[in-house]
Amino acid sequence: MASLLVVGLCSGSELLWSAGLEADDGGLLSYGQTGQWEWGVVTSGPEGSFDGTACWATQLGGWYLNDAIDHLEVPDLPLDATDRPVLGLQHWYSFQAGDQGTIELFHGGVWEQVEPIYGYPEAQGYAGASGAWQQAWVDLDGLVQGDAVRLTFHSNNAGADNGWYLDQLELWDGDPVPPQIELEGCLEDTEVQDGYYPVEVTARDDLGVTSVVLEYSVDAQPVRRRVLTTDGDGLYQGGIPGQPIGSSVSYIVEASDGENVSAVPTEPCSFVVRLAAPTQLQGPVGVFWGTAAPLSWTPPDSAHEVLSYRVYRDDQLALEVDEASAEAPVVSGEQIFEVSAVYELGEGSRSQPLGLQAAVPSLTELQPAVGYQGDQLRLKIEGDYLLLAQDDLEVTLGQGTRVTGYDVKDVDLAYITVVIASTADAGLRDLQLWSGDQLLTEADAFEVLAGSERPLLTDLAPNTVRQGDEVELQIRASDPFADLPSVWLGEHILVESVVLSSPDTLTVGVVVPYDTPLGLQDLEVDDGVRIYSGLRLQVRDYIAPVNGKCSSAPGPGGSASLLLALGAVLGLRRRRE
Amino acid sequence: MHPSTPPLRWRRSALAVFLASAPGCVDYGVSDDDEQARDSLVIEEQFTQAAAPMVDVLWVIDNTASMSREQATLAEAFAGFVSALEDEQVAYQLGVVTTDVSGDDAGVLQGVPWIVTPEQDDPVQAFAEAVQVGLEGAGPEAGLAAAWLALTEPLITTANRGFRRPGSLLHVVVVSDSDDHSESALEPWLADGQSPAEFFQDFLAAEAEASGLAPIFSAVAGDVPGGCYGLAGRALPADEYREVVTATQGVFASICAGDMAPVVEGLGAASLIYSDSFELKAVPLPDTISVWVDGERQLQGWTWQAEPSALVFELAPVADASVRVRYTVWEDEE
Repeated sequence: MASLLVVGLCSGSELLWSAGLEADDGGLLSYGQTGQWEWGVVTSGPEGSFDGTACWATQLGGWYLNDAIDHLEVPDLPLDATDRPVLGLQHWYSFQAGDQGTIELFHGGVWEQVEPIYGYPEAQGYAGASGAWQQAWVDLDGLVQGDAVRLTFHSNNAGADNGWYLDQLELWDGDPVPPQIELEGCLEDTEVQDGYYPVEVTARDDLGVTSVVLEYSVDAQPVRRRVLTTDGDGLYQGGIPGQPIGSSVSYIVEASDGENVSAVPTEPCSFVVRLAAPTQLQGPVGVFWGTAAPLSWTPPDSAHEVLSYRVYRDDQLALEVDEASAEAPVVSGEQIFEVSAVYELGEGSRSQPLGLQAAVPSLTELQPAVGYQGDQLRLKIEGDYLLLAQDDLEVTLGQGTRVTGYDVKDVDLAYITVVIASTADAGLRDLQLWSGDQLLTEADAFEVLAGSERPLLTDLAPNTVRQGDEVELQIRASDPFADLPSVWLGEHILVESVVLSSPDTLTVGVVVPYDTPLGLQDLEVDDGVRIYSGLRLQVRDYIAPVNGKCSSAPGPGGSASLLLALGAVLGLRRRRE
Repeated sequence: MHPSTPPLRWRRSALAVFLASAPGCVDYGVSDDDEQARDSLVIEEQFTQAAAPMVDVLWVIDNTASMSREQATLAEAFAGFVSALEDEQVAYQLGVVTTDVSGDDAGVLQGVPWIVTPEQDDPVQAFAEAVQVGLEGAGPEAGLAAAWLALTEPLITTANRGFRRPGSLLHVVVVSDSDDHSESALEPWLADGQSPAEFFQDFLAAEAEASGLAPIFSAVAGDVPGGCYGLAGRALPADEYREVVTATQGVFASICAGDMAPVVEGLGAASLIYSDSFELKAVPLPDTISVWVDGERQLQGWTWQAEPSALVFELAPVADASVRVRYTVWEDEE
């Protein structure tokens, strides 16, 4: 229920007497069974007076006393020559159940309980808690000089609370009492554009309501007024004319008794004429890993047909879909999603926002990004949130290429070995990377160039060795090597040393064991980026030294056999990785 | 740049080289001075020290309210841990979980990014943020259960995907002012009479068998047996954690230590595993061993160990170092 706002007081009412109760006690009298009413700086209850620090209270610094009836009397009111005296007061109370406060008038030699104007909130009087300082009015009509008013506090013997606090007493002559007006809540957002938006209030006044007026404004335009009508039962009805979609409407209601005006609510009500928004927007919980987050929502409660939904990320349209779910593209970090429905009449309001934190896999480096027909390359793949796993990774580079090896260094770094067929089409290729169930596609990430430009090994010297040789080979390439390469000459020939004697030339020390098979051995050079091949080394038969001192088994066959036997004993077969 | 030195193809195995092995042929240095006419063989073996070792370090941090002071102290020291790894060019991955296994995120790596690697823009900062796990955790603290959940299915292939790498050392570090209380969390998996510490050791043994590298378990916890008092109050004796630390030859440090920096740096050093011993395939003849490291002859700094036959360095060769050993054996003793 909206609270009452007094916006004006009648200039015809006259203030006869007042007591601020800040500087003094106003001459009030405390008495009763315990005499617990006291004046001073209040530290309990509201922890301050209505307009300062001091007031009257059942207990200034604590809870009231139990099992008591105590009075606070306002004596000596200037009631002479008044037409319609009315006492106004501000009070704050908080009582235990069974305790209450009442107002009594002394007239004709007796005290009599009376109701304040607009009554008590409970049948027994002021009970429960006011929640805030409240204005109360007491009609003193009929009282004469010498009569008095008092507040009577009743407490039983069960439980206590802060009590009753009184401040700002005023005696008026005339009609100082504004109408009381109540509004049962504000209008909510609506998708209705036609007819009226109904507004209903109850209003009453001690001397009668003269008018109740609805004041409204559309899109901050000048205020318009409409008079609410009543059947005389205190219920006033009217409405705001229908407004187009997108309109923002604010309003208040004023009631007047001809002298005073009250308005509700304190802050104007407002609503928007809009098409309904989807509800229950949901997405992944926690940090989402991926490029598109699954979102879902409940269709709006609308009389209109939904044509589609628009998904917004950080206030920017991300995508439009037909169903009440979407795979919404995300960016790394925090982001806010909202969804709206699109109707024939236009776009509806957005849903409640959904915050989402995402970690989006992305490629930051592919090196090298070019290869040649007939090439064999080792590509470095690096990125963010790739979550690479050795046994669960697949990369493709399109037609004519084949990934033959994966070497995952960590979650964001891997090397892959790629073979490009000599028949592969030249041109740009998309890289597709599956890391688990995540597919990352990088368009035009890699280019295949003509094989005629491919770096090659151009020379091997000597190109013939013999079993038992320990020799240095010179290997030359058409282009500089990327790094100090490794050299492979088959399972038997041992590469002892590799020296980069110039950017494109290697000096390779090799040992040719006696058991090396005769014939051609493929040469393979791997500089970390490219795996060169195409040249071969001829291995020829062992030639025994002419003057050598061989103690036994003179001859290459015997030596080779012995070595093989020893090798078997020692288990020293090399394994190619 | 991807390492591409010649030993790349040979890195994973210790290789024997028949350098000169035609029996009796002096051209190849075989000792035939033996008047007994025994045949000798010169054998050369070549090893390659591991490249920058890979280590996956899982931090299990107590996030209950009693850890406020310890977390603050540790946070300042964590940078030293990352620096220790980076100084040694270790290919590390770091992850953080909490000892709270009561929620849906039990065992799920914390932070963004939740796996910290050297390639990231600021791994020190990323790790420092990841370890800020807060103090909202529920008890009982179950460090072993949290670690086990983090490193096994389903999390290891879903939320914690990529954290464990083949060929990478696993180092689990628990930081807690309480002992482990994983009984209820692990109850469905515990054998009759088996303690969580025993269960976790079995798990680590399986990891060792699968990866070929024995995992390390370290703990920063309350002293055993009496517990300790530190800046943040009392830490209970961590008998369970201590048992696993001892079994895996990890580091046990007191959480009550005033200065955590040396403790954390020590944990970093413990994650660096370079081999200082290279097992030989045969037993060399005395005084016939020659050793080269990266082509330089090493006259000292190593010894030969007889059983098993091995070359043992006083200081482990650096990453990627090429180690060659040449020695002579009697053929008929092989």
